[in-house]
Amino acid sequence: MKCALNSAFFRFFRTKAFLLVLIISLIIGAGIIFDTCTYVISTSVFGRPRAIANDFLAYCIAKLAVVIPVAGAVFCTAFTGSDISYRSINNKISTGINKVHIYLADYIVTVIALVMSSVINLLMFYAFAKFVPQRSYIKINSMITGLVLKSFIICLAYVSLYLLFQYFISRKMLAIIMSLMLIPAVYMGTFLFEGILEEPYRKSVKNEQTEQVEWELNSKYVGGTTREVIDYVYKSSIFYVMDSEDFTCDNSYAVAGSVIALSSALGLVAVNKKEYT
Amino acid sequence: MENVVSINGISKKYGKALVLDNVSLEIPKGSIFGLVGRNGAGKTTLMRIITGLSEPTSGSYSISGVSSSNKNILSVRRRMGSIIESPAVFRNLSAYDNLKLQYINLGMTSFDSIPELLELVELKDTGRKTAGKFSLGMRQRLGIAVALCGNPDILILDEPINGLDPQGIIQMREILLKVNREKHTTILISSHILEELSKLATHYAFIEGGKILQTLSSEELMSKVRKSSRIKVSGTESLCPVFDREKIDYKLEGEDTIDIFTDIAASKIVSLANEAGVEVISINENNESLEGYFMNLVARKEGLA
Repeated sequence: MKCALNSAFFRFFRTKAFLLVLIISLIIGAGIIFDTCTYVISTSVFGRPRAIANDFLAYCIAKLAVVIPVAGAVFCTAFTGSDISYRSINNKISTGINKVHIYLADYIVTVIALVMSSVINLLMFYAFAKFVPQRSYIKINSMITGLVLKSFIICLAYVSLYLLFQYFISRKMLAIIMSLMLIPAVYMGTFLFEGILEEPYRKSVKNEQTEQVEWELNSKYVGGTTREVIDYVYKSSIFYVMDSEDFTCDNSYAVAGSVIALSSALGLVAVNKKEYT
Repeated sequence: MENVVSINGISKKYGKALVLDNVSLEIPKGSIFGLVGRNGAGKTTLMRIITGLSEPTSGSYSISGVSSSNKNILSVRRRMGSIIESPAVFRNLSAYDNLKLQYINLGMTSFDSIPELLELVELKDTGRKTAGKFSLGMRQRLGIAVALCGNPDILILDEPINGLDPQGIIQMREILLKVNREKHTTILISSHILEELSKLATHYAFIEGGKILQTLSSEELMSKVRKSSRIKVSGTESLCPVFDREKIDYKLEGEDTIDIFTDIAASKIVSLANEAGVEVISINENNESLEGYFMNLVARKEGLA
C-alpha cells in the first residue's frame, strides 16, 4: 500500500494535477461568491439590501457541493484516467503492486485533492463574508458545520462513482462524459421525484363563477414503502436542500454513504477482475 | 540449466476464443528467449500472463521457483521489468520523473542509478521535456529504461523494436546484449523482425494459434537453418576421412547421408567422392532462413490441421 500511495502522491505533485486543482478551486470559489452575492444583495429586507450573513455561507457551501464534483470529475480523469489510458497502471501491476492498493491510493489522492479544493473555497467564502463592509452576523454554528460535512460526504459519493467509471470503463473520454452527466442527472432526478411525491389528486378549478372544482389523478403517484424511500432519497439531494432552504436535513449522510459503499465495492471488484490493455 | 520461468499447461480464453492452448515452456536463467509467432498467435497474451496483467483460464506458471498461486509472486515480480505492446510511460512526466516513478513503484528510495540508466538509453539530455513530446523511438528507449529500473532479473519485452529506425534497432540490440552479458538478466523477447531476433536470442519458441510448435536452442536452430548441402552417397565410411583431410565441416545424418556446412562446389564434392570410391546419388542445397524455417513449421502445422 505504501508503494501505491507514494506513487500516487508523486504523480499528484509532479504532473499538472495539483496545479489544476488549485486553479479550478480559485475559479469555482470566485464564481460561487459572485453568484451568491448577486442573489443575497439583490434581495431586500425592509427596503434595504440584505447584509452578508450566515445564510450567505450556507448558500455558498450548498453550491460548492454542486460545483466541486465537476472539478472532481476533471481531476479524476486527469489523474486516474490518464494512468489507465497511458497504460502506466501496467507498470504498477507488473511490479507486483496489488490492484486493490492502486485503487485505494487513487481514491485517497482524489479525496485529498477535493478536500484541498473545498478548504480553499471555504476559506474564500469565510474571508469574503467576514471582511466585506456590509457584514452583519457571521458565526460558524452547527448548521454551517453540518452543511460542510454534508457537502463533503456528497463529494465523496461523486468521487467514488467517478473512480468506478474510470476503472470500469477504462476509456478516459467516455468516463468523463459519464461523470459530468451525473450532476445534471441528479438535478433531473430530484424534480422527477418531486412529481412522484405530489398528492394523489390535484384540485383544479373548472369554473370560477360556479366554483366548480375537479380532482385530477396524479398518474405518477406512488404510495407505501416506495413513496417513503423516494421521499427519503429526494430529501437527500443537494438541490432539494437549496430549493427548500432546509439546510438541517440529514438524509444526505445515509444516501451518500450507501453510494460510497456500493460504488467502492463495485470499483474494487472491477479493478480486480478487469485486465487493462 | 536452471529455469527462471516455467509455464505449465496455460490456456487462456477470451469469451469463446481460445487464445492460448495448453502452453508449456521453460525459460533458462540467463538466456535471451525469442518468442516467434504471427500476429494473434498468442505471444502478447502469454507475456501479459507472466507479468500479471492477465490471469490464465487454466494452468499455472512459476517465476524464480515461486508458483503463480503463491502470494509471494507479487514480491517476485519486483525483480521483473517489462514492455508489453508499447512502452507504458507517463506522458506528462519527463524521462527522469518516469524513471523515478518506477523506482517508487518498486519501493526503492535511492534514485542514484537514474542518470546511468538515462545514459544507457541515450536520453540524458532530454531535461524537463515531457515524454509526450518524445519521438516514438525515444519513448521506446524510455520504456526500456523503465523496464530496467531496479536491475531486474527478468525482462519481458513484447515487440521492443517496433517503430525504431535502423540505428535505434542497433542501439536496442546493444543495450539488451549488454544487460544480458553484464547483469545476467534473463530476457523473454518477441519480435516480428526475425532477422533481428536471430542476432539476440539464445533460445527460441515458435508459437502459432495459441500452441507452442517447437522450442529449441539457437545452436539447434542454426544447424537447421544454416547454409548446407545434403549429399546422399553409396557409403560414408571411406568418404569421411577424405572430408577430414580437406577440413570440410560436415555431419553424418545416417548411413548414406551427410550434411556439408562448408561452402563447396558440387563438382568438388563429386571429385572427392570419386577419390574415396563412393557414388554420389544426390546433392541438395539447403539455404533456409529463420523466417523460412518458421513459415515451414507453420505450413506443416496447417497441413496437419
